[in-house]
Amino acid sequence: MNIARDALGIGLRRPHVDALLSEHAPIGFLEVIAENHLDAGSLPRARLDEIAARYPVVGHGVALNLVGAEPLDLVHLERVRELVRAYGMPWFSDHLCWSASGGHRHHDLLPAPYDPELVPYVAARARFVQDFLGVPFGIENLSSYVAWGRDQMPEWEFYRQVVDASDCWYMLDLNNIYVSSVNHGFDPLAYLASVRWDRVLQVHMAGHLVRPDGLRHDTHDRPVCAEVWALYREAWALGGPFPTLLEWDDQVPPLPEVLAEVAKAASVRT
Amino acid sequence: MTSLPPPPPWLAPLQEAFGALLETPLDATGGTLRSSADAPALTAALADPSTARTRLALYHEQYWMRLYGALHAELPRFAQVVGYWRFNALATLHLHEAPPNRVDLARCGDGLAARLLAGIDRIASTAPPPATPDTRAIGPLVHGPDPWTDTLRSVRAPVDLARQALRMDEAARRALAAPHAAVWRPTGADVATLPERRLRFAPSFRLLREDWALAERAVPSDPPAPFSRHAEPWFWVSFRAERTTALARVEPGFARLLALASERPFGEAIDALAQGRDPTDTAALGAALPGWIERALTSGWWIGAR
Repeated sequence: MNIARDALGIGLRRPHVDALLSEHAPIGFLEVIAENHLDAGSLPRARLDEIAARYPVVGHGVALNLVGAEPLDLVHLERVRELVRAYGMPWFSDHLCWSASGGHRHHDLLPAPYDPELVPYVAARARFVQDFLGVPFGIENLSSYVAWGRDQMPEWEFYRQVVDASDCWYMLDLNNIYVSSVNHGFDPLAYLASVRWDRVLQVHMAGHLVRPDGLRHDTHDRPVCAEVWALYREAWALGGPFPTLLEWDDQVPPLPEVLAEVAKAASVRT
Repeated sequence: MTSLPPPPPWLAPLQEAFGALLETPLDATGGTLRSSADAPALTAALADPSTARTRLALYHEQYWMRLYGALHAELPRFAQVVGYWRFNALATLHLHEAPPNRVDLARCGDGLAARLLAGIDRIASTAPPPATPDTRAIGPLVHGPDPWTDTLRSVRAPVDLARQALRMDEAARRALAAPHAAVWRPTGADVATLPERRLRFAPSFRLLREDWALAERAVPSDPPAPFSRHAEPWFWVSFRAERTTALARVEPGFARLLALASERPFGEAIDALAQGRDPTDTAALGAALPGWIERALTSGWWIGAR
């Protein structure tokens, strides 16, 4: 199934599966968290079979450990490739972060220094992943709460260098750009100005929490805020069309509410 | 893979220091779970050490809350029975012994039910200690001589309630992971030889006894409510249906048949069920039996005989 360049999608979440199967939701595509289906047993995979028969699906990962010091997990990659092939996923994405160390999985998206020494290391790993999977590999920017003394360039410069050197793609998360811009005090429009829009596979949108101390926390538990929609308008003007996906992972509301939220994108960009 | 470059030498130590911070149990002494760990090497590596404590604490607390949330979802009834505070203490013990090493977050609960059942069995077979430990101190408990039993002993709920909740939660986990078994339609030859054969049960099948109203509490009640005790035990079958997992209530007699049929040939199971009944009861059993058999077959609980 094809995904239109201006398609709107949502992340597939368990509370919505029955609703998505009982009617044909007006949605351009669904994004599947790979790790929810690789190791979870028979039933989640059986439901995914039904979903994929009705909707185009793309794959998204949270465990690749792209910027980790440990070797890439080939067993994991093999299973991701099987998933990508089984459902004809046109692309796969994961994050510009690390998520494991010392043999343990941290189940978080953790930042590494924006150090030029890391660029060839990460780019080689990303290129390997793309070649291994056999589909375009999108690298997603993350929300972060700390910056490192080793940082020698802005995040967007590091990101662009990795994308360029790996011949991979951007999975551009606009909420993450905004969250990090507030947390670290940079201009999100400068970030957008650095993006190679011809290399953008897809855009992510999500809601985040504003803590009492002003720190922005990437929680995916609420609607997208006005500032992030404004950033989306700028992004669309600079590089649209691109497939747009809403992530809602916690305090997940009923499907119609999630669909209404992502539908706002169509009005914002006109 | 051999062509991939090695990481810069500073990367692994940085990530291991960060990982060590994340895996340090949260401080519970203030009555809430908070990050209070010092990470001087990590702090020194940050661009702005003045904000390090607050910002590293966000990662630290997020790590534990995400894992606690995942484990609550895996064992929802047991978490309600013991209370979230004690559950988090027990989850901390589990994660300390078995740090997550699978990509699927839900799999961090693998082995937790077995650890809990072993702990429950230990406290059920020994006398209670003279004093209740302070379960607010999760960190120190991790390093205590027998933290599992110390924490479980502090639970006020009956041991059998905790055990039944755990078994029901674990049965649901098993049903989610198990393959769907095709409905078995015995042939004439199967029926003729069934009394001498033992039935094969679906991998997802679990027969559960319920003395308190647990089945309905897969989703936590809000506000938290006590578990009401039934006047007589209820029985449930947890299993994997084609498109969902399910809990189906069964009559006590049917439950007894299912239990007997799991351990002996079907004919012996029926004989054992009929033993000691008066004629009225025997007639009632005879009337109920065809319906029970049909239900077990159409529900996919019996998948063959050997």
